[in-house]
Amino acid sequence: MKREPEVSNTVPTIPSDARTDAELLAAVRSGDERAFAAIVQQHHRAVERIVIRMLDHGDEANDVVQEAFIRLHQNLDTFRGEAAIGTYVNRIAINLALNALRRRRWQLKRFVRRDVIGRGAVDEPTVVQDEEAVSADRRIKLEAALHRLPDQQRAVVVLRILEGFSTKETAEMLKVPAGTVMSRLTRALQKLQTDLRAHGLESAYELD
Amino acid sequence: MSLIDETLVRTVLGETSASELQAHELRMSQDAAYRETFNQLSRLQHDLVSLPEPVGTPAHDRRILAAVGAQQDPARVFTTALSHQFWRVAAPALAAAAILLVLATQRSTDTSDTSTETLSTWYPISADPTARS
Repeated sequence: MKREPEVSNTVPTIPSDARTDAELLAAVRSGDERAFAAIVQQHHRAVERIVIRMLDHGDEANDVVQEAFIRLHQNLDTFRGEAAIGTYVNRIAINLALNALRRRRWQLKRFVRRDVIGRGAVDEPTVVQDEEAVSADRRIKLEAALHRLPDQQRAVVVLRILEGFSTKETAEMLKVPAGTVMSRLTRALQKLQTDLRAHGLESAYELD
Repeated sequence: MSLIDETLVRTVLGETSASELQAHELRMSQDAAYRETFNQLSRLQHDLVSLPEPVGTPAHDRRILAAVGAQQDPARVFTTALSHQFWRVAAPALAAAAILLVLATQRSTDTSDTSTETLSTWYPISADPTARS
């Protein structure tokens, strides 16, 4: 199921708001700035999670999250409410993140040798001591494998599996048919499994 | 060759129809390779869902609101940009000025005892009143 927005990083001075999307939209359009603050509070964590999972932590991710909400605000006058606000801002965010990845890859191609791009060699510990360490090792390898997926496949895994959006919602956000989401997801999971086996996690995905 | 296909993925995600689910259960009971692939895929999906949530930047939502507010008000955008540019340029300049000031103060203190010698080196002999007497 879709996860509820976390409140750990929100600031208590922004009040929680129980108004519906339509009510919030009407309030923002009538100049109520607190209504937009409520929208940000409701959707900020989800957008942040998606963007960080696509781009990793850093200033670039913060900029993309901020830009997503700025664009949401700019487009509110023309937003007709066909999709939920959350879906709409997530769509903006995932597309900005994909653009950022394209930009990043273009810059890497220009300035960095290809053989230093991979993260796995740096991130993956080779010595595993106990069950907790095995779990941490698997997690690190899984996150590294996730970042090695092609951008569009990673986006589908992040939205459909990690964030728990439905296939229909994922398709809406990426502006592709639901069938494309499923085929990308299938290819992504095949790649993840192959990648993890190549990085020594074969036994973890075999029957006990 | 991976046995993962779209039907299997949809089954793991709970998106299958009743008839597909029935076929899946029958196959699970008869086909060991299928069963193994399904279990592996379930494990992979479980591991993905169990990945820890990324920790965000504290108070970022407040900064977003400030940025959105700045976008609404052109004068504020200009002031914010100006302020940003000012500090980008001014901060290093102020730091450099502070360092120079400290160095100059130290130098002034170090040379205070020899000020007479320093002065004499700057005055021509003919302009020095003590030289005449």
